[in-house]
Amino acid sequence: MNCRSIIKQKTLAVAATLILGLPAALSAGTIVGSPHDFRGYEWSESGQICTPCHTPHQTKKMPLPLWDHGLKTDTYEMYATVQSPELEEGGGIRPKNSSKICLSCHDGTVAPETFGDITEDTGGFHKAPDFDTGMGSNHPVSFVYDSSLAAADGDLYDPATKLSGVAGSTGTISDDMLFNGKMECSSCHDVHNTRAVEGTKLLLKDTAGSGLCLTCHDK
Amino acid sequence: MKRKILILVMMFFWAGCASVPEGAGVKENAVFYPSPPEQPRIQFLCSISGEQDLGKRQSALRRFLVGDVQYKTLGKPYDIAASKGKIYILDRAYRKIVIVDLGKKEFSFLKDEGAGRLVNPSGIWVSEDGFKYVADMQRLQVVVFDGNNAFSRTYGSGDMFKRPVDVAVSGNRVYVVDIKQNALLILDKTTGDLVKTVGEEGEFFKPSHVTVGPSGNIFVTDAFNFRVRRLAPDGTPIDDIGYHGDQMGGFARPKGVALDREGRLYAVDAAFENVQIFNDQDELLLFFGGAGNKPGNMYLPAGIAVDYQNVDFFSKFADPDFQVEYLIYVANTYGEKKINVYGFGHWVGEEAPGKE
Repeated sequence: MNCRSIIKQKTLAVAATLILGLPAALSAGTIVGSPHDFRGYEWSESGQICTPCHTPHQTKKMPLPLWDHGLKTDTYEMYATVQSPELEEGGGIRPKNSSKICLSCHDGTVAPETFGDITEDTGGFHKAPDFDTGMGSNHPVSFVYDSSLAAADGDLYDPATKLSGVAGSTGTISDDMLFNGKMECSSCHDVHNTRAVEGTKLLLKDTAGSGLCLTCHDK
Repeated sequence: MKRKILILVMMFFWAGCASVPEGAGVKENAVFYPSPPEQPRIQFLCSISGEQDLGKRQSALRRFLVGDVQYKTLGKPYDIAASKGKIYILDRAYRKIVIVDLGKKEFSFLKDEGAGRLVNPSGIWVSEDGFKYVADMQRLQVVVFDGNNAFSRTYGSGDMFKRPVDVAVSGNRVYVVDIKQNALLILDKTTGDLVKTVGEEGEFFKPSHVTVGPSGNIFVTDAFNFRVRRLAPDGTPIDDIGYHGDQMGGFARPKGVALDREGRLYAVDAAFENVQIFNDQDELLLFFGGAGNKPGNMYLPAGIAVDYQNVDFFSKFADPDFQVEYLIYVANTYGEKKINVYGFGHWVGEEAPGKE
């Protein structure tokens, strides 16, 4: 979905609200009115819905840095993916790909986050590393989740065959929840709020009875 | 396998601040910004992720008596400050201040007990008298510790703060950014009274970091307006640095800010994973860091600090022909390398590697 069609939806939603007197909840099911819609603030300059997260490729043409004239480009790469199998072996799995977009705002200060945070002990899901040993655990992201991982783990469903159970879908975990075969933040969190379960933290599935966890974990 | 060992060995040399690799020659490994043939201004010196990176070693006797003792490590650094011989790291994973003792080569927690207990700290400032000011988002106060790290006092009573995330101190003023009020609050340092609120007319949209320049001007990261705002000491806005966009001089996820004594602004961006340097005319001088696993690269960086007091501890990592004037620390929230240490300086060798 592009920005234009979202804006069109928003216009429709506003029109419907005006004509039919329907509540703003009508806009549930789109990013409009979701926690990721920042336009309602008077401080919001542009009034655009996509740009807070998806930085425009623009805008001012600046002269090259005064201390470095030898550059070939004047554009920065955003959320660059780091690939290094050697580092992965020793250091566990680090957020990459689209998950970096999430964590660049959800740093605990600008927007809430609990990834790797101490918070309450939720069965080791978000456990801070130990000061003395550096050992800790939290749910990894940006890793390949495929049939061979499921076979090797033994307690994971095969994402290629197990149905996701996402409302309105008959697709598998791979179809509905993985991105280029990888688990990311958005595997569980529907950040654009097109399919999120109402009343959840933009979750793709309800957590009642650990339903979201048990989608992948065969426990 | 051989390749893997080589990489590990190279990582060891590059990773820590412990020792200069023998026989490797600093020059060959040196990472400069900008790269030669441009005149180098900044050199990446080392990273600190655990006590082992400071060169802490266990004695054979201790190892014999109690076995291997694990080194203390950083969890998720978010903000950073320094004083003579010490670096203070606000670690989001522990919700504590980690004190890095450069002389003793040890980590310890700042003891925030009793009245000084920290609940969810977000920003730290260390003033010249050694006092530590910590903005606590959940306690809704700024908690102060003295030069001996003992609890001193708090700022913020009643409903003064809604979500204080960062703090800076200058003269008799305490500057606090409140991300929920979208405001910069200016307090009297002695009385703790609120002197002025900047933000009631929509000046900021999620202000997240604050610092003070050498002339007393205030710099606020206006996160969702994608700029850094410069204000006079009394809170009067002066101008804005940067704009929303991915071209040089722009911002996508602006975070920590710091200034050197010449008034140059260092601004972190977590999306570009770099630091941009602006002069007092708001012109871009340089950027450094970038994504990746190479020495000097950053990983979702947040906090930054400029430090003139501890150059001696790190100058051994600098190229013999590069004179370090001050240090720049950058806190990476993810990745293997937690704190990157850079040196700002100038070339003193006989032949400069490039044009001035």
